[in-house]
Amino acid sequence: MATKANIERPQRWDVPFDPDLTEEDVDNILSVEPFKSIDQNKFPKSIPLRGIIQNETKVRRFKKGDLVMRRGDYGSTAFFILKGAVRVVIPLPNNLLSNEVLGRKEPTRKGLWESISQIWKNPKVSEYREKVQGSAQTVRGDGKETTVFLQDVPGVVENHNTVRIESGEFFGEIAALGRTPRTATIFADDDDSVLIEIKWQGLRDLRKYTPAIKEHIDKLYRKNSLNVQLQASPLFRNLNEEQLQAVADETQFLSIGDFDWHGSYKKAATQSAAKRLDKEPIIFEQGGYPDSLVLIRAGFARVSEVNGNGHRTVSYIGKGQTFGFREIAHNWRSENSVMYKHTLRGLGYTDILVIPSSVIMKYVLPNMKEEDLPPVFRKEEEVVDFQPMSAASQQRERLSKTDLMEFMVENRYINGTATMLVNLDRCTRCDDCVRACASAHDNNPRFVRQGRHLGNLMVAHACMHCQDPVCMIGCPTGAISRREGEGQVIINDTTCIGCATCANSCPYENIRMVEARNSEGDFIRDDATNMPIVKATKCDLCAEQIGGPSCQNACPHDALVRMEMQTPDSLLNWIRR
Amino acid sequence: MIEFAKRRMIGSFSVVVVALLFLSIYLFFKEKLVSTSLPTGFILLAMMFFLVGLNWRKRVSFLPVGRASTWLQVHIYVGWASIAMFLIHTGFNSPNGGLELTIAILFWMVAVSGVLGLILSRAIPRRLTQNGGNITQDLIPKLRRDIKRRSEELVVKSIEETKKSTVADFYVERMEVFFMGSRRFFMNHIFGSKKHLNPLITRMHAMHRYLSEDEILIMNELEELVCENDQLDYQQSLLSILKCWLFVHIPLSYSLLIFGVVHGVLAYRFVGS
Repeated sequence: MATKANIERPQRWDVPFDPDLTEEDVDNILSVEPFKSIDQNKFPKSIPLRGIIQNETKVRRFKKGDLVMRRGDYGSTAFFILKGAVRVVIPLPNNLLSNEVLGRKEPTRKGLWESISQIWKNPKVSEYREKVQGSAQTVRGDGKETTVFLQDVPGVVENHNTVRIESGEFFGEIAALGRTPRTATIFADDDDSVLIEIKWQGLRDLRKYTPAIKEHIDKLYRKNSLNVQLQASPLFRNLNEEQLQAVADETQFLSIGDFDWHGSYKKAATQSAAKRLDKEPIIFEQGGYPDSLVLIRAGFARVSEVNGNGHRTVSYIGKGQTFGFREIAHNWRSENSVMYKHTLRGLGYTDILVIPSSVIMKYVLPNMKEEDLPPVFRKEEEVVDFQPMSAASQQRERLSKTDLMEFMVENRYINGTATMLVNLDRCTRCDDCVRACASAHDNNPRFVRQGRHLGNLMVAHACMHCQDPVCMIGCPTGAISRREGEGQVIINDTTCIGCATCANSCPYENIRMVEARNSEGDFIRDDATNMPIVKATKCDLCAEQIGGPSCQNACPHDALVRMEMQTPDSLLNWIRR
Repeated sequence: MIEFAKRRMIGSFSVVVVALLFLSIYLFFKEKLVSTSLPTGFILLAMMFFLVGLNWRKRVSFLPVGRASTWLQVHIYVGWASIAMFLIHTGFNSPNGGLELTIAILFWMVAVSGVLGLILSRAIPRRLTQNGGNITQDLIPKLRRDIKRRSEELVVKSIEETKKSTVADFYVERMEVFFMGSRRFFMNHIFGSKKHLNPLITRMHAMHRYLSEDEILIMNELEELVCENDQLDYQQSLLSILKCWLFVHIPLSYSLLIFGVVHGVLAYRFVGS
């Protein structure tokens, strides 16, 4: 039978966050502060307050000791305490809960003998698992939701500096809106604690149409994060506390683009480059007066300039980098003012700080040494002098920097901190890299030697250990996490429940779901459903191996490298060796 | 990050220096009528053990024993140096006994296959990249089956839509063989020749005069599939060469090592006599 050709356009609230949320629940939420005092008339008709509560929130019940969030996890939701209380473990050095307590498993490096014994100890069966579940004492669930809980709550409270937060308070909003890791571990402090989990979209609208909530969140951000963020930038290092505070007071923070960019990115991949560029929100446009400096707080932005009927990508900037500083510094020193030389666009989801140029001129530039200032623009720079390239130098160039830049930005490979790059002009397709990966992971390769390519450069389907790891958003058990210190994104196999949230979120298709097997090679099945137990797998940069990434070590032809994508020049140098 | 050209120069220069050093030592002792067979033989044997070590290194990529690429570079230059050492060891003479002759033949076969392998592993990847990118060899049979299925569907479609068998007859007569496998055109692909493909494409274009517009469209699609299939054949032929040379080089290397050890033991045993 033919399917219907016309359907209703999908809408934002077609699928509510919590399908089990009843009208009565919504009424209950709206009857407590601060929701009770919110002026519903301030919300547009298309996004009513009731609609936000109905579709963007979930009522979650926790028992005492259940972890609500763990330090280092990524989340796209904030919480409001409706009933009961939670306890925050103050994130100070020497006051952190161990990974074991949090139900995480940090990979430990194998010893020399353990490494050698892999040669004969590796199982013959692919995806063999000795153990497929976390300890029953740390994970509990009701069939729909799984939570990790602390075993020794009194011990944690006694031995750690903690603060109790009672009902009526928000928490987790900064990490949710800014896509930054959770800064503290929070667990339920009362049995039957009832929390409202709010999706970032709902929180954004609440913040937008409710001045009190906006003020509350902004105050929290200014208090907790802004000064630290500014101090981390070399531009503001010379400022004293007073000056820094003056800069902070004038700083605006904005979130640009789509938080769920990984979903729209997959859909947009089929569109033309021009159409995709049109969808990237412009932050500042070439030719505009440079009245502000942009400091990237999270995410990435594309720096481009007009070229014919399109835009040529000049570079990309990420966390901690700035836009517009050279123009502002020029105008401060020169009588002939210049305009923004480039256009800045948000890539995916970009969180930025906007600092007025008057503040930069008043506090920052006078405190900088002459040699630290960027050069003023010279007249000659505006004249583009094209020299015809010889055929020989074109051949030597191999890959043009502009093309490479467009390719990396277009496909968001700039997100990678350990992207697997293959030089196809040197790769003999021997698969030594794949075999090495397999032997380091119980005979299971954790990447696919295939991927998009530009000329002779291929980006293989291997986890890039992204700066903005969207795969970590929404993991119900926190099985996927970033390793402390070294920063690899790793999956704890025993606490992974196989929900595939991470695999579906990864825009690069670098996480694979596999069916676990026993030593006989049979699928391990769930008693209740008889369905195979599924696990998420991906490259862990050989976190357990003493030799580092096996793939890179195994390539005999210098054709494979794991590279940080923040420095496009080193990539060019590598490909042009 | 050292450039490949610079690395090549440093490596080549080092080999020349080492070879000249070996030669001068050899000439120095030869003048003094001191035999150098035993020390040069043992150095050569040690070099062979080291050269075979690359194969073992590949099995333990998870151990911190240096990158395989570094091992390969050293393997290449020690390989070149071993040729110099072999010539010095034999005193630039032809071997005279059965065992020596076998060892010499094996040595030169290993050396030549090694040099050939080096040339192939530098030249073929570029050709593969320029003609079809990065296809995994395991996937080729599946892709080929898929192309064959699509081509057969097109032929059936041409009969159903036009009620004529012109395209189908041509397919059976000329094209089907193309989708059967690459073995027939293996050498053409290795040398980059298109002499198997061009006559077919010419015939396909010539057939247009006997076809309706709908059939021409189908024929054009078939032409695309033929080219797609040819690219797979090309990839498979070159990938096979890249894999096959190792099946020659490695067993020969191990044979040489075994004969070399036997020769060394015998030479050491009878050194006094």
